Amino acid sequence: MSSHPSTTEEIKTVGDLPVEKIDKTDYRIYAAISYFVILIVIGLPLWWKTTEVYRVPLPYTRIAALNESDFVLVTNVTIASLDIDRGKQLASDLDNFFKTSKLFKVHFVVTQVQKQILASAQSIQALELSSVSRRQAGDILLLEVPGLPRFTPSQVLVGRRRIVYFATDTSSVKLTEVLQQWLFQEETLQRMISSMVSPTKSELDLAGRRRMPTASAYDVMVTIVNPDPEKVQLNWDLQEAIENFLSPFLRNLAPLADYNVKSQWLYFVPLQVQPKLVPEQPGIRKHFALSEELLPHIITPLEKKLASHVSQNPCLNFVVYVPPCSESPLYIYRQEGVILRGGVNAFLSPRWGGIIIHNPPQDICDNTTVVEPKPVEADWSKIMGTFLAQLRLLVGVPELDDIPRVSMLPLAASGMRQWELDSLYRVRIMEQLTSAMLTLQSLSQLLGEISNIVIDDEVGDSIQEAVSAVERGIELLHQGNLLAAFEASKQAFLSAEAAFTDPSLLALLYFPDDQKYAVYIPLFLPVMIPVLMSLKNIYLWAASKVRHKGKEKVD
Amino acid sequence: MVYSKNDWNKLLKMFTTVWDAPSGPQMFQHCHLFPRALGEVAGRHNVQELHVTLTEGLWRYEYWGFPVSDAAPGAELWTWFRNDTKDVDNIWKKLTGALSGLLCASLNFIGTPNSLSPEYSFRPTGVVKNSNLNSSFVRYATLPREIVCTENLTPWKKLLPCDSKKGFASLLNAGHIHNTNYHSLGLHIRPVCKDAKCTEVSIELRQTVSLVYDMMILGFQNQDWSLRKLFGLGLSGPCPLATSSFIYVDVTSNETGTPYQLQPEPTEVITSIRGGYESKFKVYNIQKMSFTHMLNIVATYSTPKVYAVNVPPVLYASRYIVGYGQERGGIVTKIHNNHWKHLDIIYLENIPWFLPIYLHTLRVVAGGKEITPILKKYVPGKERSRPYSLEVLLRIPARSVTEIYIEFDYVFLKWQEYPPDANHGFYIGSAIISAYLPVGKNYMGLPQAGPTIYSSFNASREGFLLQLRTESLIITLPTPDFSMPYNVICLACTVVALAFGPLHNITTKRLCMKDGNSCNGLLIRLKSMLFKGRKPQAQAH
Repeated sequence: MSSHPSTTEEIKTVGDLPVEKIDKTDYRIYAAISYFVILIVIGLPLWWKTTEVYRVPLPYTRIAALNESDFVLVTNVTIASLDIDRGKQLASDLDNFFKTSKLFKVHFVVTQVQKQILASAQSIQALELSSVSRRQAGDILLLEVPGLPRFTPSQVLVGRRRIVYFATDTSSVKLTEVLQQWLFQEETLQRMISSMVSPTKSELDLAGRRRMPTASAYDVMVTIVNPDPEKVQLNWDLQEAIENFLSPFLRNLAPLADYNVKSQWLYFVPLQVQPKLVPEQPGIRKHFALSEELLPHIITPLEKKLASHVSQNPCLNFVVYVPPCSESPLYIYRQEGVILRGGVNAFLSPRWGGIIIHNPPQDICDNTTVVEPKPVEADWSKIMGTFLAQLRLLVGVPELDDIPRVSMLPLAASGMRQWELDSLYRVRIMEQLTSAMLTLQSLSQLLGEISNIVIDDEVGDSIQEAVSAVERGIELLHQGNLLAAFEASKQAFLSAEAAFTDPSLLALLYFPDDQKYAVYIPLFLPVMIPVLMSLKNIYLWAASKVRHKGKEKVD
Repeated sequence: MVYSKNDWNKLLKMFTTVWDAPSGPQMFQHCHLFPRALGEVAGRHNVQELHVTLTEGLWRYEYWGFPVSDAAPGAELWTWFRNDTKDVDNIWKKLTGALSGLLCASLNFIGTPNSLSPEYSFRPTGVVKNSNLNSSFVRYATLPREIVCTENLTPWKKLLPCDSKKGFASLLNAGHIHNTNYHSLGLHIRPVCKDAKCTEVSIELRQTVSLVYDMMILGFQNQDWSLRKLFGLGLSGPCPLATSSFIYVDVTSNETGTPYQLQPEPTEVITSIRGGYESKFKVYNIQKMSFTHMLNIVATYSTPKVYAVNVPPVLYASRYIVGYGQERGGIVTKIHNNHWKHLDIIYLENIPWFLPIYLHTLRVVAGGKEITPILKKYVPGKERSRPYSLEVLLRIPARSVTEIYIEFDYVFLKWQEYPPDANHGFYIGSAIISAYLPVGKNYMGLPQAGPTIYSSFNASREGFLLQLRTESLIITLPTPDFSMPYNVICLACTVVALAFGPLHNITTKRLCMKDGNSCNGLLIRLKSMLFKGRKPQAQAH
């Protein structure tokens, strides 16, 4: 019997022996089964596998678990007092206050100080320099100084390093206040985190709004704008001034981020706003007024000349504007009739930079014997002093609220106190860890929602790296190691950003599903329908076989 | 600095120079007059020399003589990187990206696949510390299709310290510049010596504009020209930051050709003898002039224009495509030498990778006689990664026309490699002919040492380095129908499906006879289902 019966044969065999008929049916069913096996069992998974979007296995559970892990800043505070019992009392009082803190876990250690050390110190500055003051980053020493009123009218004095000096009669409430508001700044930290986690619900505080967003490097650009070089001549050594004033401060910040200082001169860039002329009045000289609401309009035309075509770092801009004599003196007005605070003719634009208006001296302007262009000298200490103050705010050192009878030592030449640097570390750690965590979570959410995103080995590695760096950072915070935690958080932040913004993620994003099906349907639909329909025949045949066998057995 | 020349075809060139002298390792960090935006780009990418030109139109050497600075049609960029640069290809790509952002041009389409490293044609123009040059640090690329427009002029002007507010740049108004026959913007950075002994090196930036006006096309009835006619307005004064500002008007043709009078009177008249040829310039020192109102230099011709026989310059070239069909073609470059002596030239051919050329077909013929090149340097192209680069050193005979011929194939590209509007054709960049001219006739190029036009006066040298750019070419590659892939997929799928159906049926089903009663087809079953409900009703009736 031939295995490929022709149709004519089939018609003939209709009435033939049942054995032969059953055999032929079997062959057909075997054919149907083999179609099914090749197309559905082998073909479909093969197609699925070969057209699958490449994705490295990712630690989804660990990413989800980051949400539950709590960011706790462990801080060691040493209380050094003359009377150990009083020290212990203070420690337990402070401990009670800080129990409610969500972010900080403070360990209080009580030690006794020798009276001689304190007595031998001639001034607070001498104490600052003594060996007592060396503390690890993040730690704080509360030092009782019995004769504090000798040096200062305040009850509590915050040093330049990591020491808080307090008089013997200071209450624990006051110390808590100093720690909370000045040194730890928990409120700021908490608002920053909540504004990152739920940006629609909470807002940053003033300090947070001013602070530059976190990045691994920043550009600092000093620009001198001379709108009319025909009238005013500036022979300033800008480079030297930057070296003298800004560079020492920025060197302090070097562990936090890299700062590249650049400078440029711009000519013929006028103010795009018309200052108002205030005529001469008794007691007031003729001058020009620039109202504070107009200040944003000054920045916009400048922006064209400030952008960089190569650097991707956020840029802090500092602009010196020297108005020509015909438009000077020019003053910024806070509101109608009130000149800006303290005669400082400058303003700060949050997360952008600062502008200072440097008026040419009146005597040069009035002196008609000086021919145009009139030479104008720079008052560097004023200009750079203002820029430094603005830079501190932009970098993230906030202006602290006053606490009665509490003061701090004035800034040293370096422009930063050590505990300020510590709190900056805390802000950056929290910001970077939270940001890395949020980035990772939104990435894993995106991967769940959009199946077309490719995750290649490199991106997979940086996600792994980011996850473990976040975990490591949290662990190091628990240990109270601020510097190492900062490094980990920086790593986490950079890796998470690198993974999230990698261009390879988008490789297949623009190949939409509907187009894919539009291509496949002309093939799949006509092929699959008969194959699937034949399943019914296979089922019937198998059922009849089973029945047949059952019958045989019964027989 | 403005330089203007009135010649056969009414052309006027403007030439601006800015230079600054910072030096040291962080030379681009702190900028004064040097534009910071450009300085940052050059500093970050380890650039030693940078030359960018954006040009619209073709410089017609035969009629206009030689330009001050030569430029290929479209965008052209060549750069020498410093000797310590690692991974030049990568930095080159980044540099073109940054420049494209700076100048709003499509320079970002320049990469390794369309860049050459010519061995002889591009030598550094500035100071070089190390005399043995390695051509792996030079990159050259052109984008002949680039269209130059206002969006390039504005960023170009922004690089000037006075912007377009003062000085000559205030004359450059887009409306009056883009109706010229030819306009070319250029940026040239090079290191130069600070003093005669060259103990210190500083950076020079030259920003150039070349414009060629045709008064007839502009609709003026006569050939008289003035600043106001050409630029729409007069000059309001010099840039206060400039150390010198001059306007030079070439009046050499006054003695031989149609004479013209200039108003106002110039501050000076200079006679320059260069390479045996004398030329006369009227000079306006802008800084010494008083500006009570806008300065408008007017030239009036006393006699109507006389069209004389054109005397072409010593050396010029033209290029065209030969062959037919879409399989094989050839490129012919004709180089005219009008000098009485033979000339040595370097010919650089820049062919994109999609036009494979055959070196064995290279033929150089002058006056019916074949010339053997002195030297050939050929870098074969690679598909999608390197263009074909051919440099030929030739000695072309006196008073002759030399033909350089080479054959190429047309190839099929991958369908994604076709640009939008693929039927427009593909451009081939211009070839470059470099020569060392012994005579200074028609030559206006700047000497190596000087950045300004002034330094080209009386600057006789043994020879004058000249580079000519030929026309860029356009060819049509075989272009497919771009909806084809989808059509093919659909058609193939349908054919497969159609073939599969019967095959499946034959192998899994059989044709059988059934008696009419037992055969309950789908239609009958449907009918019976439909009428099931009706039957009782019918009975009730």
